[in-house]
Amino acid sequence: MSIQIKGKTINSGVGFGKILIKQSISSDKTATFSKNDEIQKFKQALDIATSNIQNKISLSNLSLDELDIYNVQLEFLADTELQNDIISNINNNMSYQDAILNFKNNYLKEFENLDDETFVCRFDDIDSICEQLINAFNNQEQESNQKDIILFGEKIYPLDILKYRNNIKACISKYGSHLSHTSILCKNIGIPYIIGIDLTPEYSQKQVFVDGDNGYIIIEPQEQDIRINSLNSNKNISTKITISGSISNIKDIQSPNSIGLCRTEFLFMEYKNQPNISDQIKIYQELSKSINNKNLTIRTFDICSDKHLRWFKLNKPIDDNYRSIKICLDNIDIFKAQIKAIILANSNKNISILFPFINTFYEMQQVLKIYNQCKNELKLDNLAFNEPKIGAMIETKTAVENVYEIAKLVDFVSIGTNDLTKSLYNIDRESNDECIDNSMLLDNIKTISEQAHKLNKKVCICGELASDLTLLRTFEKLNIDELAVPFNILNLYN
Amino acid sequence: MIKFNHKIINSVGLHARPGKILVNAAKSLDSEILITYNQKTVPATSLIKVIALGATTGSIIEITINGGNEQYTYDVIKKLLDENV
Repeated sequence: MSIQIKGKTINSGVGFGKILIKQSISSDKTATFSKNDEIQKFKQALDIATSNIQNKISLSNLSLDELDIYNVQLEFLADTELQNDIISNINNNMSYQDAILNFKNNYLKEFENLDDETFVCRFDDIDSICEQLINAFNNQEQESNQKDIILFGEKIYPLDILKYRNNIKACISKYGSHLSHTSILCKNIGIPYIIGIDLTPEYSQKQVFVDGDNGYIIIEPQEQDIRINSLNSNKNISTKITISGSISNIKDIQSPNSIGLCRTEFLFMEYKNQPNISDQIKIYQELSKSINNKNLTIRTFDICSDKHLRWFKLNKPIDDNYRSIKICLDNIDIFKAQIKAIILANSNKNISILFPFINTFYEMQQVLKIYNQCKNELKLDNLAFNEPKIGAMIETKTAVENVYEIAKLVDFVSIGTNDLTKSLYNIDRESNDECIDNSMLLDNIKTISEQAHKLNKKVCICGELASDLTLLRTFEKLNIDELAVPFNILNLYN
Repeated sequence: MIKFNHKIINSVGLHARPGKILVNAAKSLDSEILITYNQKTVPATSLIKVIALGATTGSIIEITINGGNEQYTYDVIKKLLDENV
């Protein structure tokens, strides 16, 4: 008989597979030891843990965001302060494993005293490498060949995900946070993650369906379960809606498909200085070339509190109101350079320009004023160009109220469902933990679609909602023209 | 010895990513570099200790540079902090 257990969604999506229970820490309490032996064992454990991570990194095709997270773990292992503290514990008559646990517990106290939750979450990274060190000598046995892994653990850490990177279909844990690196990784790989669920060892290897969209799991689900059927029937799905990619990096592109959303702030995040017009043209044209010059929608810089560009000097602090297009309108030189680069990159007439976070008719008018100035300046410089199509991103309650007026000024609208959700349900950007019913969101999408189509303007959905395969027929009924989804979802379509 | 204060402007605070940039630079310089925040002082070469300071956006950290080519270390660290942290 199937059992349904409710939890809390950290990352949406659906997954189906067999439960693999993460190995717990096992320390050998009975062994007698000499200090020298224990120090040797600790050093060996460091080498094993480090090379395990390095091997996994080299074997998995990781994105830059994932690499960043794992490099921090390697940096921790190489930290001489960590090594000195643990060796000094061993010198105080602890086994190497107890020395690590003692080190970990001291840090736990320090991190628990910090007031910022994001910092408290970084303790997980330390806990994670301590686990690796303690289990270094018995880690081999769980190197599973299992496909379709649903990983369960009291806590799940980035290194657990790395271990099963290519076969993992979902994560379930008792404790966790949306601010953790694990959450970022699940989003990055595109797998659901649910917390608040505790599974006893008897569930090991049982089949489970994980519904990250609705925040529950079904153990030993029945064939007639509607959601499972929807998952199965979604293999090679066909639809009249255009399915395009959404990317933050050229590496995200897996096949020459049209791109409905390219988030340019990520393209230049590692830059020390502002990328000039020719740098930008080069990158936009490279993107275009890699999709055989199919349609490419480039969104201008969407700077917000968690997406900051170091070369973008701000006069005012970023908050939920002062962000994105408002920041660009206050930094005309950077904004104009980007607009010109996008216009000039459009030599194959396949590029559209998308302006984020447009709230009002007046705001769109201001943007178009700058856009027209750019065009005139390019003409004065005797540069030939093809005009891109222009789109506005609708992602707040206010924008939905003004969508008809905004749509008059543009060629198409895109719906940013992540921010729209936050705006409609009044959720803080940092505490998007609650499972919410999305009927109000769908009502708003309906309004946007109806208003835009009155003016014959196309509507694209971006954000997490676009990846929800169970809503595909709903999107068709709402006359949505395009869905921009990550490539792992795009691959499910014909 | 050179001492100076730095206000953290990075939107996430002195976290893993900005911390790693600082630690890597500190390791490559020949001066001892210490960071003080909230009455705690840690070596800038230890990512674990730097993150455990819990220095959030807007807080002021004090940097102490000791020994080696102090002026050079100051120039490098000051620029790096201004650009990344």
